[in-house]
Amino acid sequence: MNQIIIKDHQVQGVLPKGITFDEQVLSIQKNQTFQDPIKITLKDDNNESLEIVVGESAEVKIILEIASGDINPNTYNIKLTGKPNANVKYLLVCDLASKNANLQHYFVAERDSQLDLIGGFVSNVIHAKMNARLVGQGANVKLQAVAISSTDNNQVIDIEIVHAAPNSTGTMHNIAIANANGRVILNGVEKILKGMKQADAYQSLKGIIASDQAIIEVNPILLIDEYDVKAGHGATIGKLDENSVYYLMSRGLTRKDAERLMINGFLNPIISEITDEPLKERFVSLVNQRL
Amino acid sequence: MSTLKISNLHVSIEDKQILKGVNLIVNSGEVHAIMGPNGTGKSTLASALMGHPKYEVTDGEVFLDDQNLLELEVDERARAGLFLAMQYPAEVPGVTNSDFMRSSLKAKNDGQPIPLFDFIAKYEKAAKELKMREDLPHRYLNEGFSGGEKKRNEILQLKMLKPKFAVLDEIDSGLDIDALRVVGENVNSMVNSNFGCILITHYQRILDHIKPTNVHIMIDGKIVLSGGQELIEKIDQNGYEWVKDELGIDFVETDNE
Repeated sequence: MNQIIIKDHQVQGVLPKGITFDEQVLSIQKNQTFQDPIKITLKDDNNESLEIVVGESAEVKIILEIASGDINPNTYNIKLTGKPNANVKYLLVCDLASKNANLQHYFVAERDSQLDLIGGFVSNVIHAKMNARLVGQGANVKLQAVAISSTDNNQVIDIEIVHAAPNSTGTMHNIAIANANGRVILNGVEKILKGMKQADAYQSLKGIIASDQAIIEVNPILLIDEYDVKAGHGATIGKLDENSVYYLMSRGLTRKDAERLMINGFLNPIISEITDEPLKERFVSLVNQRL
Repeated sequence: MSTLKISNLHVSIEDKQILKGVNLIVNSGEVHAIMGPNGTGKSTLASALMGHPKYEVTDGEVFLDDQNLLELEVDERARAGLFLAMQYPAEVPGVTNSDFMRSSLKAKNDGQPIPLFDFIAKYEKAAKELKMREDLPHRYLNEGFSGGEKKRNEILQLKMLKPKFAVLDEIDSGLDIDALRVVGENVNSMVNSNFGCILITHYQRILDHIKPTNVHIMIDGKIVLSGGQELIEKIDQNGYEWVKDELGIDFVETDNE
């Protein structure tokens, strides 16, 4: 794996070939293919901003880790652009101890680019926005977010896809899990602008309540200003199925283990897409700490 | 050798009395068939033994050797050595059969994980004996399984977990003749001096494959008649009407248990 650590707006060490960093913009050169994931860690604790540009026809897997034990207010502004025909698999892990964190993450998908985006939120108190704008024909964005809240955690997550080009495809699958007195508000917005014919939008929001004090709110919103489109959405909130818990317990699993297995099961489709093993393990253990 | 002792068991569901004093003693090495018309409480007995939260025990005792099962949670009963092959096993999306099975074995093994290669070898062998699909370990637990596959998956878990006692609740319903033979043979192969079994059924077919040592007839929440295999023959030929006449009980058959 390629590791890039950015601290105080400076890259620590040497950048891999084909990547440049200038004025807080990290550029992946066009036509470059990276087999191994590139892991970017933001070390600066506060008011960080970063732009990542993936060049034309480049193919890359990026893992961005925003982790900090700082409990003061934190603000992050991140932007990722996929140039025409770029192919990006992207995983964001947001693990902030801050009592008041704010993350604005914008994505731009140009013509024929494929962005496969996963956001994992295991922060304390955060308002996070992941906004993907499809600006070129044939752009395809798949956005999946998972937020897990436990004791005293309060996470508000806005997931938005804006179709600003015809023939664009945007899919989102988001999962909120709340345990103890944790709280998650999940707003899913998919917007198709006027004239963006043949746009294809789908969103699903799922909330799982694992305790009586937990609060989850999901708001699925479709804003469509064009007739010739395909769009669908679904939202559910529920407790873990008691019958399934009983079934697992009847094979000797404690209630806690049964619930944990089931919640990991819900996340399985998303977790299985994290190809980097150490990161997958870390993500799974972060999730399980909150269950 | 172990003993499962059920005494004077009374069970209600939503304030409706279903079991009205069941007495039964099962020892390791024995297979007890419990037969009876629909709606007489057979499945209630199975669920109450396992501790399904919907069923309330209002009187009576259940002991597995010197452990009072009714004081234990569902998972504790399982770890004490009780297994229930369910009539309608739950479907659990996202949880693979192999993850589930490994977790269960770990729980049974006092939290000690089973070495992966050991597990795979045993699991594949057991799945093969039950003629299950090769991709079974990676499929989600019972999700999208046919009725027959679900039943075989119950027996697969039984084979892996090797409990002291198993209650098989209508393991034969929904099975075609070949699957019935496979399930029957596999259960038969488990019966030994460390394993006893309660077989709940209202058909006779499964009893061609698993020969019970004891046969009980349950009607209206009680075991009204106990005997040997001769009872099966009698039910086969005459249904349950004769029990009414012989014992002077009246009952109405219903579809729901």
